Amino acid sequence: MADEILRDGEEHATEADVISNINAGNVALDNNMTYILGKIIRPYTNMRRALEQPPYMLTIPMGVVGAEDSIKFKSGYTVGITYEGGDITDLNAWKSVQYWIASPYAEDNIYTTAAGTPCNWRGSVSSRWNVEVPNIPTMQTDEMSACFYMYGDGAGESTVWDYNNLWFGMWGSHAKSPDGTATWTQQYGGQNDFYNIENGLKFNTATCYQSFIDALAGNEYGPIVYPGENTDDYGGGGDGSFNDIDDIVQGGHAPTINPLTLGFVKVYNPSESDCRAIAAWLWSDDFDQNIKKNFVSPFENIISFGYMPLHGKLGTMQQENMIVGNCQANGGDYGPAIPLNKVMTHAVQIDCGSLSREKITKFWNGFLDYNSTFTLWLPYVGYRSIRADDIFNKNDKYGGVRVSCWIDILTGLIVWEVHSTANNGNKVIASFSGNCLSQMPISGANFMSMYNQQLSASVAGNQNIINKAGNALSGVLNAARGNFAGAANNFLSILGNNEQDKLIDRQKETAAPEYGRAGNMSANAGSYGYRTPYFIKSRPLCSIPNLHTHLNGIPSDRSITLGDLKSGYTEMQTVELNISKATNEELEAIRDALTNGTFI
Amino acid sequence: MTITFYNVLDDPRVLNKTLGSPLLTLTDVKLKDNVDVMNPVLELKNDVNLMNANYFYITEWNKYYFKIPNETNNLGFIVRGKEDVRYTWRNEILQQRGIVGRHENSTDKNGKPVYNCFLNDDRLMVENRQLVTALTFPSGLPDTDEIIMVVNGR
Repeated sequence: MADEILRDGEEHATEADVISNINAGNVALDNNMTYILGKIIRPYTNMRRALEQPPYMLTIPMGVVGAEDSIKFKSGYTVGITYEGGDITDLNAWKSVQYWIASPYAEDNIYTTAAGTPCNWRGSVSSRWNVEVPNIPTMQTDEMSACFYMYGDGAGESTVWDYNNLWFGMWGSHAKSPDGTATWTQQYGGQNDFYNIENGLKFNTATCYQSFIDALAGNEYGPIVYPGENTDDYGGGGDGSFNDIDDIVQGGHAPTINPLTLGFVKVYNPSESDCRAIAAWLWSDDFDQNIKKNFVSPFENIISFGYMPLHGKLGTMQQENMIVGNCQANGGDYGPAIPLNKVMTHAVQIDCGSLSREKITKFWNGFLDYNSTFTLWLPYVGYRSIRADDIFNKNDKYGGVRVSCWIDILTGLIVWEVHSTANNGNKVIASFSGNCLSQMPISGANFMSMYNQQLSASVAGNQNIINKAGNALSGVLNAARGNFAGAANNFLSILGNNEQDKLIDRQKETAAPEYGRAGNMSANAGSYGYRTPYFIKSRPLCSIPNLHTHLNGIPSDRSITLGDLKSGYTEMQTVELNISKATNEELEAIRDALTNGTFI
Repeated sequence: MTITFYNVLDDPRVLNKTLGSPLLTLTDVKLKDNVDVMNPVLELKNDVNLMNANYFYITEWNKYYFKIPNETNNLGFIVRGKEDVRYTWRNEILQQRGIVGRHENSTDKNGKPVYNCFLNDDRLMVENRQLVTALTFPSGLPDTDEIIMVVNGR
């Protein structure tokens, strides 16, 4: 989206323009340096283009700014984005806004509004308008950036680009306390904005403006060339659509059918002492009770018994006397009461958080970063590779990745989702599944077939769960025939060579654990593994002599008139020679000289 | 022919060479037969000292040449030259257009980008080792397990 305004570098204001406007009094700068992100945005030809096409979206990147002092925000304070220009005739035509504030030192954007947030324009001064960002979280950083997107419906937005001077600034309400008693008008009266938010913002304006200009000009890559534009200096492609719309892909959700509400199966979360009570209840020495139990076969109605990494994740539970099949342990005919916690939810989501911008960085900020190998360790799944393009921002040296998982409590199915937060996006780029249920033996019965029968009956409409459960348990029964020592060896081999790692990984993909019923035990290797996802970066190292750039240059693909190049080593891919006085032999020699390398 | 000799220290690949002061200027120099403009052969007398010269200019042709080591014969010695097309056509070359394959500077005179670090650079020597680092996500699955018992029943 930001490309809409990045592609026309010639239209952007220079630092001199900014300073000129400051000197002209177009923006107030007091001793406390209130205006932090003020930036002239000239009448944009590209803005105009953006406005000519629905959905009438205007993207205003604030760039990255640094502070002379650390930026500190108190939790609960309000900052605002000010839109300042002349002759605003129909700003209210912009119906909604979405904006974010980011810091390279925060895990995620510090604040992001929801898409479609109504434009709550504040401020009675005709040429200054605010959109509030309420209740920001506590933040302290040395750098921050912001961006906001405005959306309209085609009813008047086109007036926006008529301004000669259009400023966007970020403001803090200097007296805006969390109780919201302060007014916004004071910010125009020479008072500072961020200053009273602890130590305040004292931005280096030159850095601020220049950073913004750099961001607008897209200096790292140069403007993006669009179809029909002059591609002379920037290469470009064919007649593609150049459509790079990047939708948000939030990820999956739990099945809408909760098998635990259907009356066929239930899940208990017994404590260890509860388990001992259950065992005593099952193997009671009371003759009468055993006779009665024999008719209702409680063993056959225990579908699975194991453990999962769900401490603190099971939500609100209900307590009831254990019911197994038709047999209730309530102190009646079948023996003593056994109160147990009954699990009410069938799926749990666990968000493991994001790796921040400062951690996901391009080591070289070049092609070598894209030759790097990025591997995720996902508990109960193993190592999985992801692409550099999925985690790095296109236009700067940062990136972002987040992982979360769903765990199906009935089956132990664990589904990891890897989210890319690169390019200010949020989309699922990969999904991996495994099983985190470690089975424990309670009887000699083959609960596999029982499990499928019971679950099929109870959740016939949820075929997906059934299939996955069946697959997982098939893996259990087929793969797990070892003993505890073998399991331990498997665990130790995680620390061994790669082949063993891969083998273990494959086992973990398919083999849910089972404790053998004849005293032999196997285990879900995942339950012995590290339970926090981590990220392994394998980056190539290269030898770069000091003179590499001077004597070899760096690859380019730029079409240019040679006289526009700065002095330095140059190799031309190809050149068009129009030198009328030179002989053919000389032209070929010139071509060879230019393609073989010349110090211009 | 009028020939001016120089001692040029610049790399032969430099477009705008610094010629320095002429070492010697000879007039009425004869060329051997079958002259190739790009590879002229001069016949000089024995009393000419060209020890330090490595470059010469032919006034009549307005071209510059690298001087190739001397050969001697009975009449004197022969100087062979190879045209330095870079310097001879330096002004014209700067007016030509083309596609840059490699360049030393990140931007051109107008501040626009020239080289692109994201293009593969086959001249960069990549080592047979890698830097392996790990980053842990802020949180993970709980370290403590919960016992789960699935039963059927009402």
